[in-house]
Amino acid sequence: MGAVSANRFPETNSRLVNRLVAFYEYQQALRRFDALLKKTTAEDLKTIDEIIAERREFTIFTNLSRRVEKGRSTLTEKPKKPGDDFKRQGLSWVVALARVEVAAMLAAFTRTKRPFEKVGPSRFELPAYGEMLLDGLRTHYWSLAADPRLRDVTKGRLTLRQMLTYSRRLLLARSFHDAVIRLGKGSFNNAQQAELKTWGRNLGKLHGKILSRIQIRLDSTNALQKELLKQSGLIAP
Amino acid sequence: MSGKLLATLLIVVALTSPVSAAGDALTNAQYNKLTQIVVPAFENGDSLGVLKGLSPLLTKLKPAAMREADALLKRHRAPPVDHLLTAARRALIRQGMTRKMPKASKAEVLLVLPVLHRQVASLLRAAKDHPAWKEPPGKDGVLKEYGELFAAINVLDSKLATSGSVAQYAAKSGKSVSKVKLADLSQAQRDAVEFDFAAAEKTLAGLRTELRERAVELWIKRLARAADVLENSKVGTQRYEAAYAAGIDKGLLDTFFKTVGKQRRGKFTRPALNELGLEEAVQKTFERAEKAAGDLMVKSRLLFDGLEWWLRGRYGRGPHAGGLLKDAAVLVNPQAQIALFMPVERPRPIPPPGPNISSVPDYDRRHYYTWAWENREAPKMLVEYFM
Repeated sequence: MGAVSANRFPETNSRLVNRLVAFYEYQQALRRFDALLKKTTAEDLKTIDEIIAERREFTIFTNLSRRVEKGRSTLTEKPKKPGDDFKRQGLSWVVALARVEVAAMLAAFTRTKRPFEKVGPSRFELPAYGEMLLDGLRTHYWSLAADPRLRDVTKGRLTLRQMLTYSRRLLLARSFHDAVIRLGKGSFNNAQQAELKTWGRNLGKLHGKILSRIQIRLDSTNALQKELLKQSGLIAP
Repeated sequence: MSGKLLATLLIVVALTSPVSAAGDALTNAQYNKLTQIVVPAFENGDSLGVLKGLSPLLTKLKPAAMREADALLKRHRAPPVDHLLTAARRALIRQGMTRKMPKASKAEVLLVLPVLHRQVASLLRAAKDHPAWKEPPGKDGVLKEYGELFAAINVLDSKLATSGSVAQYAAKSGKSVSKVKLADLSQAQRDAVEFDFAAAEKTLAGLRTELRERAVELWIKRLARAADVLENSKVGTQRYEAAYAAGIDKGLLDTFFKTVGKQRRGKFTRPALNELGLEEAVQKTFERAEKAAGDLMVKSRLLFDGLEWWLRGRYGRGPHAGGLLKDAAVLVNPQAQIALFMPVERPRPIPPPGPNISSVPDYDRRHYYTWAWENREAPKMLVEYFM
């Protein structure tokens, strides 16, 4: 394996993505939803939202990041109305969730470029999609910031396997960040843009540190251990 | 600690510890096999890999070595030997991969058979009380009631199918231990060895046939109800549901009439299925529904099928990594993609009040968790899930 820089991510065994529960299922769902959206009228969409609202299992809660956010941030989600419980229903939220999840799996487990655009968000669910992307970024960022193991990771004190999973985590967080910047162009004020820039820098720096530690460790790992890591999908075959 | 006290303690430990003769402990080769093949296979959710590594070892492990093996597995956060073997065999039976499994030794059969016996026996006891046999909705029954009934039928059908495969496997592998001295076995093993798995397989197959005939009857009733709704109702949600039901039921009935319906014409246990002109009557009913539905047939199919797949993505659990991962078998057997544990009851989403507190679904966003799947332990089987 060649030298690893902060801009190159360790290769993974992309086949592993097919084992993730929901990767196949959400794609099957999206195929049908995309075909449906080509045929629906405004009245259809109203009826469909009523159908979905009658079924509690399709309720989605958003702004999950509020559980882990610490301190003030210009990116904190504001309630849409007084007493907003962040409970959302409707086809646009259902579609958006499926797309975000598939894209995130592609981001973390394959080398797909721009996965959050690759999954093809449509204008129909773009507002919901954008909200979920930003919420996902916030959660990843703040939970990383509060992760008690982060120091151990950057000092190379964990096992190689654990460090590789953290690299994957940073890869994912940075993919969310890239997507938020690209898809949210024009929708952030100056202060938000500045904060996003800082987050991007912090995530990049952190990832670079982890990658260096991984490189050092890989250089001293024996052939059998490398084989086991390949089998587990953490490094490329 | 004082020297005297330490010496006393060591003597007590030596006297109370089981004495294992040299040669009873794990050999280096066995140790390496466990740590380098079995544990990684378990961590990767590779049931076949677990069996290939562990199954041949079982007959070579004396009691002391077995205890050592269990302790070693525990250190690697894996279940003990007997659980690993049983879970691996059950997973592969569920996935229809019995032919690929290595042959089980007598010792392994005696480990696994009681677990399989419990599964089959408990289903046989409970099958007839299952909600799938509930009375169908009346003439003006709401389509949703049919939906709930069919969901219950699917659950039971799946259980009957899985347990049928288990009974078939158990009948075959149980032959290798049929001549074992019963007095040497535990009660659970005796019950399993004496249990007639072949007869159980037949009973389960019979129940499945009866259940499927019942489903056919219900498809016909629901199709008629859907045609009425499409002709008479202007309520959008009802029309969508009726169009979907009509399309689904027609497709299922077409397959039925071409296959089982043809083979067993006149010989069904449910009298309604033996009526003359049934197929033509169903066709006429469908034509009424189709005419009244227009393009709703296609749209409703896309919607409800899509929602069904979405539910599997949202609430489905695999057998590994805390439910996040399917078995490694999916990489060689695409059909294994379908198998997931799903909740029996319709879930009511609950957001967690804080991190690390459980919510519904378990994984509010999978991307928060899948990055660390290697660190997730295998889930305990939850009562409310089935496959």
